[in-house]
Amino acid sequence: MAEAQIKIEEKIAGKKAVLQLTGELDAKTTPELKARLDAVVAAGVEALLIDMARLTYISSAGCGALNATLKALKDKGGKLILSSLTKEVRDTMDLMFFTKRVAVYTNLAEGEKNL
Amino acid sequence: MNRLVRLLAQSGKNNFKKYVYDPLYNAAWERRAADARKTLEHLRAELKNPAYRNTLAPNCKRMIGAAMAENLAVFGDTVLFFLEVIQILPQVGEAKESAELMAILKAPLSAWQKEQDERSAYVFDRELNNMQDEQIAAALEPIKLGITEERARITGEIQRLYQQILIASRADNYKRAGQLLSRYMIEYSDAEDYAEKDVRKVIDALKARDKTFEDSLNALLATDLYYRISQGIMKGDLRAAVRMIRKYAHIFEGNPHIRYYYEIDRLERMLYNVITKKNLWKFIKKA
Repeated sequence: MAEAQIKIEEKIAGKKAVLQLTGELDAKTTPELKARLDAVVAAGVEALLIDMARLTYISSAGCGALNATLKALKDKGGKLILSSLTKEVRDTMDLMFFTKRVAVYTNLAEGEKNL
Repeated sequence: MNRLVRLLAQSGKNNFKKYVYDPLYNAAWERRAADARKTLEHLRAELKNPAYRNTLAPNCKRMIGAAMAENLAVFGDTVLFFLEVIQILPQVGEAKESAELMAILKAPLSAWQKEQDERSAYVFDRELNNMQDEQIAAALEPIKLGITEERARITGEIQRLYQQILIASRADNYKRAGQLLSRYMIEYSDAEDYAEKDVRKVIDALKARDKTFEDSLNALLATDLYYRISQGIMKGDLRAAVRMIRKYAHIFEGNPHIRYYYEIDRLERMLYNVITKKNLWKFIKKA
């Protein structure tokens, strides 16, 4: 099996940021996302949208990184929201109960409107 | 190391000989047979007496050496006893015989573990594919406290265990508190009444008094979960293995610094692949 890869595109505007993920989030790629998320939060972002239209897999490692960011943002009075979840990603997140903790929007435009 | 050796013993005589007996034999630990079983009973009794603690490690070494000349069964018991004592008594853990045992077994055990991981992954994938849809769904189902009696029993057990944790932490009994917390988290982290915030408070309080507490607890939890996963796979109890993977994910939430992070991530991917292949997502979520 080919090794998982992740590409992260980032747009920061003041206290808001949008991250678009492409690839897979597993034990190998999650530390890269985690480092980026920590940097975004440290830069003062309080409202974060993560678009997952091109994310094809997520494991509990990925959900864990998102959960840690969610907690960090909530502590600052901020929020984390998600958009464009593929069926595969949504299923895993449901199983991890993560979709119960965050707002999920059908597409990027919807997500940006609610950021 | 204790759990790993125990797992290895369960995997068969040949493995145990190859990865535990032979390395110790090559390190010249074998001695003349001297009824190691009797010595084991003596040492078990001496465990309770602090006056004998200084001599426990050299005696354990001698006993293992004698057991090597007897048979594999008593040899296994003596090695496990020594490893157990190393864990329980810091004085024994610091002895040169303990360091020697660890140094001899470290490389062969990690070689076996690597092989075992490969074998487990293969067996897990195969068995998972053979599992009935209902079995997979049931294995992934969190504890549901629907029936009144069952709810009362589990809620009572959660509260009782939690009280014991508080007592152990107040008494600075870190080892006991760690064991109880580990049991509590493994059993109930996915239960409806799990007191996540309270558990966090207890861990933080113990961590403030002993900086290594949380790392030790995580190592204990991860090892225990990994042991149960491997045991489940080895015994063909896929339901237990799947449940423990689910619990590992729930407790550690993808922390890469936790033991067995990559090994369990690999099994998790296999699990999701089978669920997708069998088109079970809807079924599992309903359960």
